[in-house]
Amino acid sequence: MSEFATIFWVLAGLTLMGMASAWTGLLLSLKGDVLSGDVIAHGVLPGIALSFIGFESKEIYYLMPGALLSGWLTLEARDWLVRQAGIRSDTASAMALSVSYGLGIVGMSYIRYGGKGSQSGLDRFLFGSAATILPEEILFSSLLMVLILGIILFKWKEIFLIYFDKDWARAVGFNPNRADRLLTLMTLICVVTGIQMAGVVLMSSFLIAPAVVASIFVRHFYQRVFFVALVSAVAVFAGSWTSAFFSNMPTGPWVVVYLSLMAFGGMVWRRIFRHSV
Amino acid sequence: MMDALWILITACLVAVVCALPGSLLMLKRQSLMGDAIAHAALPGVFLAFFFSGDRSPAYLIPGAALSGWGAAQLSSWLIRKQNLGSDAALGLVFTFLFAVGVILISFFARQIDLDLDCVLYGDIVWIPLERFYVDTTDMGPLAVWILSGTLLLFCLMLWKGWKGWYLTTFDPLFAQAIGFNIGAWNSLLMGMVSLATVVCFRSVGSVLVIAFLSVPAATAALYVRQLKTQLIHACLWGVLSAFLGWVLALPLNISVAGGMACASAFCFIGVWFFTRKFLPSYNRSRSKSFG
Repeated sequence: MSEFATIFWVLAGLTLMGMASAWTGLLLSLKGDVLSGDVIAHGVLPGIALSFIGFESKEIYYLMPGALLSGWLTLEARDWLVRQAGIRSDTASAMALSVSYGLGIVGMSYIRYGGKGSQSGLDRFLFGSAATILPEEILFSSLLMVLILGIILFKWKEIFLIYFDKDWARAVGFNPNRADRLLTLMTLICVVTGIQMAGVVLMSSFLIAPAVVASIFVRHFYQRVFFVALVSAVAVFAGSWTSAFFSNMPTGPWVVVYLSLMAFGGMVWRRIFRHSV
Repeated sequence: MMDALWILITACLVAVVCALPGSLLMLKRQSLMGDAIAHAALPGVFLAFFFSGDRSPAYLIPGAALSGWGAAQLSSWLIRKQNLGSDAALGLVFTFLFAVGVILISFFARQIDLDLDCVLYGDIVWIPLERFYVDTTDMGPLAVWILSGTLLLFCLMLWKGWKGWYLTTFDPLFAQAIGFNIGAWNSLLMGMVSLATVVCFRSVGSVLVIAFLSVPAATAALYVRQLKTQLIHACLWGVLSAFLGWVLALPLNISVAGGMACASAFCFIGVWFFTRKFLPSYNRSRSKSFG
């Protein structure tokens, strides 16, 4: 593949992933549960280790189902802690993500010491590198983005009602749990796709930062839908350009830096000019 | 055999050092601070290494702890002045600082020799290798000395400021009304947490730190009703998890830190089951301020 084609594919994949996670993050911020992305991102590790032990393959098609399943189980464990054990949600998040990650580390060490081969290829799945992206992965993330956009468009009224006024939504006959399940599914797919490009830690920023920037500059929800996509795309372009300009620079961290600078800059701007949106 | 024992001693110290601020964090609903600080310490680690050119903990621990403490202050500013939700503020700050750290390290990767894995995400197996020397006498692993010093400092802080910790944790409004400076106490707690996080993740890795900050505290909070008992029992559950993880991991030849995180989860589930089965009145009469 020529250098230009590589840059094009990386840019396309990152842009699509950024927009999909910006929309998911917007919905998550309405729900008030933005760190569920972080919980899932840490929670995928045991699934990856187990899939590798089971299938002995580093192909993404084998690792993905395990990652999705264990991310979902981690999120369920957190919700169980909140509902059944009466733990507050922040403690429950910390417990679920650290124990799940610890379980994953146990699995990884079993792979390393138990003669199951090297875990080196698995690191790529976790720590993300946008530069090694493959065309079929871009196809996958564009499908994902179309899916999320479709959900937002066709479930517009439901999402809007449920996350702005849960009680009223319930009173007029919508089931809030269905929307929660749908959003959980979107977050799961988004995070599992995203961590291959951005890494476990930085994935949260792709979810959180665009929604924060949008909340500073625009007020209406439908404006925010366009605005978060714009913010995300701008950050991805700026980040890719920077990492192409300096050699040996990782793309993901630069995108995160631009996203955060937009958020911090917007806050300073709002404080100086006393705008309240 | 001596090495395995040193590993156990280190893990027990880590458990206690984490359980003390972890309990306070849980009561103040800021448990995720440990997660955030562990990641946000990266630029501090880099700067300390860059300016001192030395990998010794004398520079790395202050650098990392300052950077983590700064992250905590920044996110609490975002929460107070920008009306950001506490989880969004944390997520924004720690990803930003982690990204800055990664960029700095990859920018100077050719000049300096700083390996992320070995500096930031320590491994408990290497504990006995890094020794502490007075003149030329071998005084045991360095991490044990650092952790004991931190533990002593924490005990002193808790003992001297007991009334302040007590009041600002349970009734901040009342504490403020009678003249306690809430912001100062909160940033003192953040200093404690970032010191604990930094000191511990150098020896056991960041995952075990987050687990030991949250899980033993939550285990104790399932049945405890008093702050003093909460702190003591959280330490005990932490030590027990460390011991169980050590017993499990060494013969099975798996990661010790991961095993300890899993063991703490077993303890939590066991205690939850026990209180639910045998102390149902405890669950019914749960006051809002605990757990």
